[in-house]
Amino acid sequence: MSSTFDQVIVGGDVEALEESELSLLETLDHVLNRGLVIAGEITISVADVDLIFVGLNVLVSSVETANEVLGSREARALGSTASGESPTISNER
Amino acid sequence: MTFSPETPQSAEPAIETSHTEEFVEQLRCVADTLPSRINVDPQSVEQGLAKLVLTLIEFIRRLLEKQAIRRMEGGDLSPQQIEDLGLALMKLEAKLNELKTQFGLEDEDLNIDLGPVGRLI
Amino acid sequence: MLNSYLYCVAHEDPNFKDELSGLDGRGVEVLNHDALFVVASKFDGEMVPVTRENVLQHEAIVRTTFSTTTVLPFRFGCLVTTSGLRSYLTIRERALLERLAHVRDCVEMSVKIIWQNSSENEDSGCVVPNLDEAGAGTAFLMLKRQELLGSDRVEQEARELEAWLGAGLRDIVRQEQITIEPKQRLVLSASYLVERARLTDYRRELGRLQAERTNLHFLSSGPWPPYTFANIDLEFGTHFGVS
Repeated sequence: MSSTFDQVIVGGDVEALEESELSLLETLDHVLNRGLVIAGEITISVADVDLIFVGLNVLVSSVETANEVLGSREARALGSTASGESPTISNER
Repeated sequence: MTFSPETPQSAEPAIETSHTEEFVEQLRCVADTLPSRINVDPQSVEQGLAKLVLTLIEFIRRLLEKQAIRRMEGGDLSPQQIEDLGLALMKLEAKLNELKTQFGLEDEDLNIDLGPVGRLI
Repeated sequence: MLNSYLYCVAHEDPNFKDELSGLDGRGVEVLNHDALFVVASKFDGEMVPVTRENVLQHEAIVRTTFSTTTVLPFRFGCLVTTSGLRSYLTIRERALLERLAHVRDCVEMSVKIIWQNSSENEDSGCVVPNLDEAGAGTAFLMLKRQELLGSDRVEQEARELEAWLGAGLRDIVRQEQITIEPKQRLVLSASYLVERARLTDYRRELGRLQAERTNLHFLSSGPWPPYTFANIDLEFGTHFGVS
């Protein structure tokens, strides 16, 4: 079974030179957020165990990160804006 | 807020290393642990759930181990208590490995990135 | 409902000279909302496959924008509805403008370090108890304790590495973000927000640091658009996947 990364590059050129493979890997490292938030959300969105996993993340992450994540989620849930209107941010999941 | 004009002129990123092969190998490992989107078919959902549950248990098991060692070092446990504790944790580890095998999961599958805390394993 | 795929946010129109082609061959558009400009393209579907083509395309469009103005890049896979985007921009306008000011004139530079970590199985010098006399449970805990001591040491070494790198570069960069993974060979991954004017200083200092520790293997890359220092997509579920 091919590795995940093979699936990413196999679409193109399997015999890519090592340099361009490194370049792709480095690019991947920058455009993808490797944080647990992403991993957790994708993993659990189908299993439907949302809160428990996110809870684990918040439990072990730094206070700063937790506030950042919680803050944005709360803002979305409360739906308040500076102008007092309720935005219609749809849940993309 | 106003911005004075700037001329970024950014170049294409250059990548410099004397150890291309090594970094390719290491970064590939990272890319391989990218989470897969679990499809709706029942088989995968079950595995996804198993992975989550086992990861949680594994996380707790390691905490338990650390705590047991701390208490052992603290000197407030009798030799028999240490022995019982050790046996219980040993069985827990064995049981967890059994479950991993049952669900076809490797250590790497449970090796979730915990952000600032690092990786689980 | 048609989604928009997001590339980046800017405070002025990038004024692309040519028509840019985005993911799925859709045209790249610049959407304006008050003081903000968003580079996006239409996208069909709920999920963005992580393919070489898509990843490179995302990076290329962000970089093209970055060559004309300050940007806050979105990470790969941000899909949003038009109304969702509008709400987001309304609520976050000030924060986004502040962030744009923060990354203004800067690029992101990255450093990764691989080490040959051999200390794991070394004799830690601790008194190893006579395991023959201990029961199986006690022996188990003793061995785990040894392991723990070993990994504590490795963790300490990794933190020392982080501090050493930081000491050298902290005064030169505007912001840093370092991740260490003591148990991995790729032990350290650092991203730096560096003012363009200070790139020469940065490179010189990095060169000096590399020469100081020849037992370590370095990878440096850049300049990148400030992906790590934007953090503007926490509110959007990113919709990428590998199936």
